[in-house]
Amino acid sequence: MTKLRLLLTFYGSFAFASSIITLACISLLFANAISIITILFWFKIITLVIIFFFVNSYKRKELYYYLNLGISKKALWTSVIALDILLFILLTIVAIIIK
Amino acid sequence: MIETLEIDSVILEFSSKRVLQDVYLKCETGKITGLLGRNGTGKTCLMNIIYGQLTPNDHSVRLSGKSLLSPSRKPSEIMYLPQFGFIPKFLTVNRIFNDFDLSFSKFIIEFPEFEKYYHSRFHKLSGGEQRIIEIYLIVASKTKFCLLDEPFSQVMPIHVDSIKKLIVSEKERKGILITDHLYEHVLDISDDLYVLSEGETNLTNSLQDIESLGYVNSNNIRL
Repeated sequence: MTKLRLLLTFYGSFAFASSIITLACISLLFANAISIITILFWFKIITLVIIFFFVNSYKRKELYYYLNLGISKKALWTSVIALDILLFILLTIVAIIIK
Repeated sequence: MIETLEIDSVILEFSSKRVLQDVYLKCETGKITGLLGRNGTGKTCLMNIIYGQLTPNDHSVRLSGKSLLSPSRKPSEIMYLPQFGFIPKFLTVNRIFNDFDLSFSKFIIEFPEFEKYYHSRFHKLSGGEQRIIEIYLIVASKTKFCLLDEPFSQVMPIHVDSIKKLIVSEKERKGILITDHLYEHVLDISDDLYVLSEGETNLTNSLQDIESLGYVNSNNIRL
């Protein structure tokens, strides 16, 4: 439970920016043909890469908090990126069903 | 049972400049090991190599004879206090103590003036107060070895004494590797002392050695 809480704490440091991008993608999906989905997917991935480099730079010191609590940088990033992409996919599926 | 943390065969180069080349350092549970050296000699790099966060050209880190090959370290084995603040500022003090599974009540026995901060967010504390909490978390945690990079800097003298007391009491349960330019405090509590000079570690046992290695000037030695 502690590890999950720590992962969510770390995710919280960029969840707002990532959610805005996800919601923007969903809005574009509603406004356009479903064929746009490939472009939106790659847009989401590219923005995640930018977020990764940005957070790794300005939160670099805080990564030692998680390291001291047993979560490696690799585990931290793998988990939160997987969670973010999963949320994106789920919302995309919901949007397609509604549309 | 005494556990050991050893590092040797380190070669660390930055753009063809060799920083570390002939390093051997041994830290044991029940002992405080001091590490001194002039700026830029690689003390922090060495700690980061031990902690797995810096990969040199070559190295060997062993915990009780067993090589640590992966870059990740278990908190039950090694914890690291970097020289900068590492705690996310928006967390509350009680949340931080919960994360590290430490009792806040025990902490305020040593540092009673912190009692009012239990529900405060970390950024509300002064830089010195933040540093004391960071030091306490690493030193008091249930781990075999603590790597402390400049624990005395930024801390006021009255608290330096409390921190030294804490470190000395915790060495009964763990091994502590400490580096700080406030060398009098390091000398005061260290059982073993290494001086990093020209990329090499030198095990020393006298002030004359430290002086001859160019870390202090004999006129400035205050003990």
